[in-house]
Amino acid sequence: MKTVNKNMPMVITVIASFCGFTLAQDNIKSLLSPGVIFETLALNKDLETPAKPKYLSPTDLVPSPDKTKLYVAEQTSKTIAVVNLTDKSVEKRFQMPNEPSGIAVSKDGAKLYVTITSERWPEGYVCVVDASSGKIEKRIKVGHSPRCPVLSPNGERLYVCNQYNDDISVVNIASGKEDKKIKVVREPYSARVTSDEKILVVANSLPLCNSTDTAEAHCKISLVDLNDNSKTVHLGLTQGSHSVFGMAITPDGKYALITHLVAMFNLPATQITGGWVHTNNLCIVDIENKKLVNDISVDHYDKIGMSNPWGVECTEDGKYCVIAHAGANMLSIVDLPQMIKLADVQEWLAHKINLLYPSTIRNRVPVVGLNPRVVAIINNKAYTAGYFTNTIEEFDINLQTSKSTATISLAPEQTFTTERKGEYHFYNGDEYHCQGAWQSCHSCHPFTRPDALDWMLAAGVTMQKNAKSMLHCPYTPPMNWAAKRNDYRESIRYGILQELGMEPQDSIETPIGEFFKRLKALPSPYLVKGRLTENAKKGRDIYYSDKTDCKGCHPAPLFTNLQMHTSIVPDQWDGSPNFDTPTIIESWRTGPWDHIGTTTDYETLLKNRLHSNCAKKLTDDEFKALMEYSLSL
Amino acid sequence: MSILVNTCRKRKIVFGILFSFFSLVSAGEVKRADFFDASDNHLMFITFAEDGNSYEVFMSDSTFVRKVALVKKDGKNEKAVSYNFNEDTSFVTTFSYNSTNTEMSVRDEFRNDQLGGKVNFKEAGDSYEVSQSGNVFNKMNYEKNGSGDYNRINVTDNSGKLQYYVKLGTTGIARLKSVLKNGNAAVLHSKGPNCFELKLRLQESAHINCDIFSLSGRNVAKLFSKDVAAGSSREMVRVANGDVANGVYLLSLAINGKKVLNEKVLIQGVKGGF
Repeated sequence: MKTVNKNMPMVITVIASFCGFTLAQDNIKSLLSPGVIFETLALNKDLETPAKPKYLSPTDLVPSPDKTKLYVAEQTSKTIAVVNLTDKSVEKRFQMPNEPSGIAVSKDGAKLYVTITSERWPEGYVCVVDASSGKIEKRIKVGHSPRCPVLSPNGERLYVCNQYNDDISVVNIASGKEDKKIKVVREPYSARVTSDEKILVVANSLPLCNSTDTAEAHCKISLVDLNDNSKTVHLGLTQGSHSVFGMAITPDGKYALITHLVAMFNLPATQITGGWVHTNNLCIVDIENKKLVNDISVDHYDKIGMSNPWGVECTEDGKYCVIAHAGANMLSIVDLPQMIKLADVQEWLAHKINLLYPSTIRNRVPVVGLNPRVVAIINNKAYTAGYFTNTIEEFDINLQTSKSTATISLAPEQTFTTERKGEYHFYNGDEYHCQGAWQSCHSCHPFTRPDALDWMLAAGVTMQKNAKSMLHCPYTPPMNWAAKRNDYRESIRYGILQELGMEPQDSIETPIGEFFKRLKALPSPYLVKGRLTENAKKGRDIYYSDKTDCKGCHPAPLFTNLQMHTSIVPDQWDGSPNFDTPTIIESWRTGPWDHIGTTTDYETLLKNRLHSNCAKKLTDDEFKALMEYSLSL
Repeated sequence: MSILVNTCRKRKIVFGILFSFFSLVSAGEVKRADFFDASDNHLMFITFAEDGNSYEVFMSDSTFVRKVALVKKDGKNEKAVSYNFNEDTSFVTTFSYNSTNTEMSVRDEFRNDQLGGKVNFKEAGDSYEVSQSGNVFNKMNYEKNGSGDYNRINVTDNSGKLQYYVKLGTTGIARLKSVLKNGNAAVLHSKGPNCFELKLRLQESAHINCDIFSLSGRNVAKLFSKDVAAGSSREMVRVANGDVANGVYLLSLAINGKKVLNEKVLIQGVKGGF
């Protein structure tokens, strides 16, 4: 003890000198002025101001194993709400370090596994959260934009969809590390694992093919064999399928039910009703035999659609499945055995739009909350939450239910800013936004980006053209490939009139425009820790050098010169061979490329002599560096 | 007891190193600010690289490290150009903070305001009341430690409930800077592998020695030794092949025989040894 005492003065001296030297700061307020603090918090979307309220945006609902609580992932407020179902109130709220995109609960209910990501920090991770205290015990690094965490039945592994890495992370719970990655097709959005943990069913939300190969233009469901990857199969859905979002496995483990849209892109979009442009579908996959049972339309009948089916769940007894129609603001309560019986026929039912018309099979229930994207089922009750409202609604599951039996308030309702209004109108496909509630803006432009299909629009746009991204569209006039619309306002107006069949109104058009103005590019998965790699930096030097002519047509900061240029693939059906030059920001996610989507291979696109002569002047390494830079934007 | 004695000896050495390191770090330099929410979740940290009237701000959530702003000070005005993503795909936002009328305006070339308009800061001592369109939405106060030095910034809502707090630190990824007590200044920038730029500002001409020491304190290489005139000057310091083996060393600078800078540097890719 004497020795310790002898050293005490030394320790005190050191601490004193440390404090004295490091924190006697004259310039602290200058360096960390309120401006810098608030700017940083605003950049991280943490700051709430009167003009920029922080919305909740419930995006996932997961029941606790004891069925007394619901965990709600409130995406934009970066919180997890714990809802007590006994007294129907918010019991606790856990702050997350970033936006939660999905929740899984351990079997004993002690831990939550929350996927965390945001457009600022897309290199995401899984937070292991103590379910009672909300303390974050561990952070496990996974991939780009992780979502839909799925626990294995024995609780030893967690499967996470890395949306923009096109793969699945397999996380070892005990070691708290990612064991491996499993490659799937494109933008996996949801997944489920079978009870014997042999098969992981993955919904790839976008097609991966040339848009001009119309027979191949569809999404795939990956049935990943977790024991032997060589037995993995990728089942093709109906031609034109895309936006594959929700998934449930029937309690007997036989079938996977998967929601998606089917685009009728080969027809000119001259009418909306009757599923002429989109039908809203649910496919049934026989998991054991790795085959599609059928793909059925969940629309009502030829006059009324049920736009944007999203979340889907089954009751424990297997009697019903419940589908959330985010666009139509409805729930479908469907008699599951009857639906499977109807689907188990030779005839392909994807376009048969009155299949679920009889009220003895399906009950359509309106949801008061706006844009319900998720469903949770506890016993004979279904719960859903509107993405744009701060409430959870409870429904009895039967074919007679006509309205919600209870409403749980997550927080007082908030006033919409113009931007938020625009976002709401963009995702809404109810009968006030689309004739017959068949589709929304989000149907052709999922999350404001392209659906990877060629579309034949109504009047004046002639032949099929690849769907465009809305990113930076207010700053990149003219609109569409053939420049038939002068600016984004005109495009929105025509979209509402011709693709939604509604009378354009300034109260909808202006907010959607504001929403588009505020869209931000998502950092590319080609970046490493948000930075260009050394190779991409070399590519940047080449991009701006005289060796290539990239910067002529794609100059920074918009990476387009807003001019018309001769296309790589001339289109004989158009009056002019010239097409609008697209921005190459986010080109990593907007394939297939060019105005009719003739290529999914970026190298082919850049090397096409009608596009650029750069390949001739560059070595292979220089070309690869240039390509990496371009894909990093 | 012998273990305890040994432990204390080691501590003494560690404290000795710490003492010499911190005595060389300038007074008045915050290199890192860590942002936490009210639940103590670490949100991000920002670090600074200061250079005269401007400084660069880097932001990180421990996965990304991203240059988010370049702040230029002009008397009472502070203008920050913020990069929303990275410098190659960014659409910059300009934050202007006027410390005279404590007003901050936010705009970028696409009118994409982060805070939704003009924000006012009402200053009272170490506290700020932050308002927008007449509504007070946040309060902020700089907190001092027992020695009267700032070490924490609290951001609360209007009712005083803590929303976020910022902890100030002195270690980070920022460039090294040392403002010495007698008015001299020495700054060391890494300019690439085994290459450093030494910026000097001397009050009067002096003899400068630049050496490399191993972590155990052995002088392993003499880089230069020369007289430098008063005023500002720059010296490129290169570690050539054969000077030292790969590893971490202390790069030491002495003015008139007095050691003023002792920075850890990584030397890599050089052949030979000593």
